[in-house]
Amino acid sequence: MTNKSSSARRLLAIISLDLSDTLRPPGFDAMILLLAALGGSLAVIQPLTEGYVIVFSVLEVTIIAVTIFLALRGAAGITSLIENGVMNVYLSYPVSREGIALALLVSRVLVPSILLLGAPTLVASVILWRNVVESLAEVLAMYTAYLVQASFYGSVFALISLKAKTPGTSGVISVAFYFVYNVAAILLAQVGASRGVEELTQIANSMVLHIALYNMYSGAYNLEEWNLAFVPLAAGITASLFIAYFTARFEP
Amino acid sequence: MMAASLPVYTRIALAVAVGIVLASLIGDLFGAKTETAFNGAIDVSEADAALIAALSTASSGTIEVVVEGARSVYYLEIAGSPLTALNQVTALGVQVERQRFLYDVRAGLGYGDALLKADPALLAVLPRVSANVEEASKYGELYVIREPIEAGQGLAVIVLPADDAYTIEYRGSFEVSGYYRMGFDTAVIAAVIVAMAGLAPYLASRALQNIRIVKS
Repeated sequence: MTNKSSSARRLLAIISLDLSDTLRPPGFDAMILLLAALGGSLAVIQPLTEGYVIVFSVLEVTIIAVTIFLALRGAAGITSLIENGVMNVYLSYPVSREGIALALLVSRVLVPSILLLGAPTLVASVILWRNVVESLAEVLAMYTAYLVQASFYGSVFALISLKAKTPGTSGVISVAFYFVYNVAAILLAQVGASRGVEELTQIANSMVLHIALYNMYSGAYNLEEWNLAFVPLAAGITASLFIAYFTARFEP
Repeated sequence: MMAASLPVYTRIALAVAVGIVLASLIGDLFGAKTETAFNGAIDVSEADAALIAALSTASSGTIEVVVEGARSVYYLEIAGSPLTALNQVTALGVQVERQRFLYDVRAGLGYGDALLKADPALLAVLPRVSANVEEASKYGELYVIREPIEAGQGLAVIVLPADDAYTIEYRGSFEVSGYYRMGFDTAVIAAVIVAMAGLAPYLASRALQNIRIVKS
């Protein structure tokens, strides 16, 4: 019991230490200020009354900036940790390799995503509070969808960062992956619609969770359960791959 | 230097506070409007029918379309994005040509018109062959459609021109319902509360530190 709690304490210490690097000013401060101010402003230029439309309007552009942050500061930072030897300090903690990998996913992917997506959503929620309260479940569901999508990208970026030789390479390959993934979703949707191949359209609709959820709320498409499960499953698999690869690479 | 010494929760709270003030200011200066109007005239000399469409992308409300110069007017509810919504019209067996589509961003309303090519026999019986299509009410020489819609929904109005009509004239309006936005003054108060909530724990911990130093 004591071992478990002290192990958890050490894990929290690593998360806290690594977060101070991920969220360090002035880069993070500039990012969150701009996202809160400009992302929030997107909620007031149209008369948004439905919760899912409010979050969609605010986060549809914001997620691009968040993804680039995760690629350049979050995941590329893991390559930096390896390059400048800080990773060896983390590895010297009496914590399992799986634990350290999990801590890195929390501090490099999950927490920055929660904060950067949360700040503009909070601004919009304060200004449009009455409409947000009326459809709180939709707001939370859409926010979670964006968070899962960003976590999926971040897990892939983290995996890339373990293979890349320099932070620059890690960042560039991560941004390239993000671009290719989104173009692939658009192309699949177009080919599916023009050739009448329903399966392709369904795959395209599943590749971006928040779009799938938006379509479900707006009634534009009839979604099946796997449409909503695709991205969370992919995020889980890539996170597990990251932990497995990290453990294998830094075997004691 | 100051930002570097502040804890992360304080920096986030300050960013959110600035965001609230700025977003509210933008809202007051260039923000959403809760009603809009549109109109147009369609040359139907070379078409079997005309289409008028209006789609709310952001909010629920009531759309009204008034048509003049028609023999019959049908309408159906459409949903989705402006690009995909017209598929629901072509699914009826009509061909959409020469589309003109405009977007009023501040009202969150897309609207436009188009020409329709179709079998006249099919057009005449549309409400009977499709459960989604309804006939518009006639008031004198005018056809009036007034329907409540949700965000992402809209109306597609199919107009069969009168025998002697070369032009269809229409006018429409959209009134948003249930929209509320915090005013600038209230937003400033909310921003101050958020900023203070972020600063208070930091200032309290600094004060406690100073007291300890003085005592020791």
